[in-house]
Amino acid sequence: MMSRPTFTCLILMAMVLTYVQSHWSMMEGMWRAQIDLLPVFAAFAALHGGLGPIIGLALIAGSWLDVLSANPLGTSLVSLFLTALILHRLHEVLLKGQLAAQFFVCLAAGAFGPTISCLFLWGMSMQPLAGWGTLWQIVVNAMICGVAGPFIFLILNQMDRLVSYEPVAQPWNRSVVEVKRSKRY
Amino acid sequence: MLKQPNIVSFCSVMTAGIVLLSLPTRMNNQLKWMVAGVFLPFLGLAEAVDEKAESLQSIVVSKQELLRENQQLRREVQNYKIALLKNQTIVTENALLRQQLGWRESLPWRLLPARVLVKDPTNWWRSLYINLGSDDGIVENSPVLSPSGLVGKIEQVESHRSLVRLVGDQHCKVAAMLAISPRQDKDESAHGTITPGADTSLNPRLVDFHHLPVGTEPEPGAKVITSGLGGGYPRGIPVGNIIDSRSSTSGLFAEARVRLAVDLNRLEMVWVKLPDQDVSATEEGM
Repeated sequence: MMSRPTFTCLILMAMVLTYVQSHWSMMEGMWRAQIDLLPVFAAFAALHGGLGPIIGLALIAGSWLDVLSANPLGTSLVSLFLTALILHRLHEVLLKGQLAAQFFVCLAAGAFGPTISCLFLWGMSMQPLAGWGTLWQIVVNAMICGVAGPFIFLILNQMDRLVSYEPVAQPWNRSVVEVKRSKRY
Repeated sequence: MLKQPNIVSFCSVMTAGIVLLSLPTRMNNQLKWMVAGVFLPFLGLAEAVDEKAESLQSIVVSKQELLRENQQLRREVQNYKIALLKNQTIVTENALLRQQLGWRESLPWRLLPARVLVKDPTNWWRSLYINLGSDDGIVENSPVLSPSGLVGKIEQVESHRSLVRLVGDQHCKVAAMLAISPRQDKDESAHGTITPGADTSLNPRLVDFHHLPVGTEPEPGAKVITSGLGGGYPRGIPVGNIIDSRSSTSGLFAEARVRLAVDLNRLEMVWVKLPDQDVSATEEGM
C-alpha cells in the first residue's frame, strides 16, 4: 500500500509537471500535440495504491488540471478516476516491476485518459475541438506517456524508498525459515 | 467480481463528476473559481518561480547584446513617432469630417497589457490565462489583441486572472470581412464568420471563413479583418490571410481557409481592449 509521504510526493510531482506542460508548450510546436502526463500518475496510483490514493489523485490533480485549462470542473476527475480504476482492477495480473509492462500500462493510460475526457465533453455537448488531428494527438500522448512512464515510476519508487519505512522482516515469514528435511525424504 | 468498496467509490465519483458537468456554465465557473482559490498559493508560487527565472535570464544576457537591442528599440521608437505624427493629422481630419457629418465621435481604444500565465494544457480547447482580472477592470467578452492582430476574447474573469478564448476555439466565433483593397472601386466587401476548421485541431493557425456570399472568390493572401458586426470586436482588427476558397457543400455559401495573423503558440504578452467609456457619463463625472 502507498504511504502518505509517497502519496504527497505523487500529488506534488503531478501538479508541478502539469504546470510545466501548460507553461512551456515546446512539445506542441514540435509534435502538434499538448502532452498530458497525468494518466501516468494515475497508473502509478492504481498499481501501487488502493482506492484512497486513486480518488485523492483524481480529485486534487484533476481539479488542478481543470483550473489551469478551460475544462469545466469535474472533467479530469472522471477521466483520471476511470483510467486508474480500470488499471487497479488489473493490478494483480500486471508485472508492475517490469519495464515493458510499465511502458504498455502507461501507453494505454495515456491513450485512454484524454479519450475519455474528450468523449465526456462531447457527450455533454460542450463542443470540444475534435477532428482527425485529435487521433494523432492521442497517439502522440500515448507514446510519450509510454516512454515517460518507466522514468516517472522509477523516480516515484525511489521517493517511496526514501520517505517510507522498510518493512520489518516477519519472524513467521516462510521464506526465511530453513527447512530441514529428515532422512526419509 | 467487483468488490463493494469499488462499486461504492465508482458510483460516488461518477455521480460527482456528472453532477459537476451538468451544472449550468456560470455555476460551474463559480465553483471553479472557488477551487482555484484553494490552489492560489500554488499559482502564486508558480508565478514567483516564473518571474525569478526571467530575472535569472537577464544575468546571462551580455551587456553588448543589451546595448545593441537598446539601439534597435530607440530606432523603432523614432520610426513609430514619425508614423504617429502622420496618423495624428489623419485622426484630426477624420474627427473634423465626423463632426461635419454629425456622426458620433470615435473614442481611442483603452488597452491594458497583460502577461500570459499558462496555455491550455489540453488539446481540445484553445485558451490561455492572463495575469489581469476583475481587480484590473477586465470584463467578460473584451477583445484581446497582439501587435499582429486578433488573439481572442475574455471568457471568464476572476479577481487576479482571466481566461482568454483564442480564435480557433469552438467558443470564439468572430464576425469578419475581407479587407477592401485600394484597387477595389466599390465600397462593399464579403462578410462571414471565422470558426474552427477541420485542420484547426492539428494546426491552430488554420481556421475556416464561413458564410461568405455565393460567388465570392477571394484571392490567396487577401487580408481578413474583423467586421465589427455583432458588437463583439471593433471593426478593422487584422485576423489573417486567405489561403484558398471553395463552395460550401450545401452550395448556399462560399468558404475559405484562413491563416491567422497571430502565432497563438508563441504569445507572451497580449493587450486587452477595455470597454469604451460613455462620453456623456465621463462628462458628468468631470
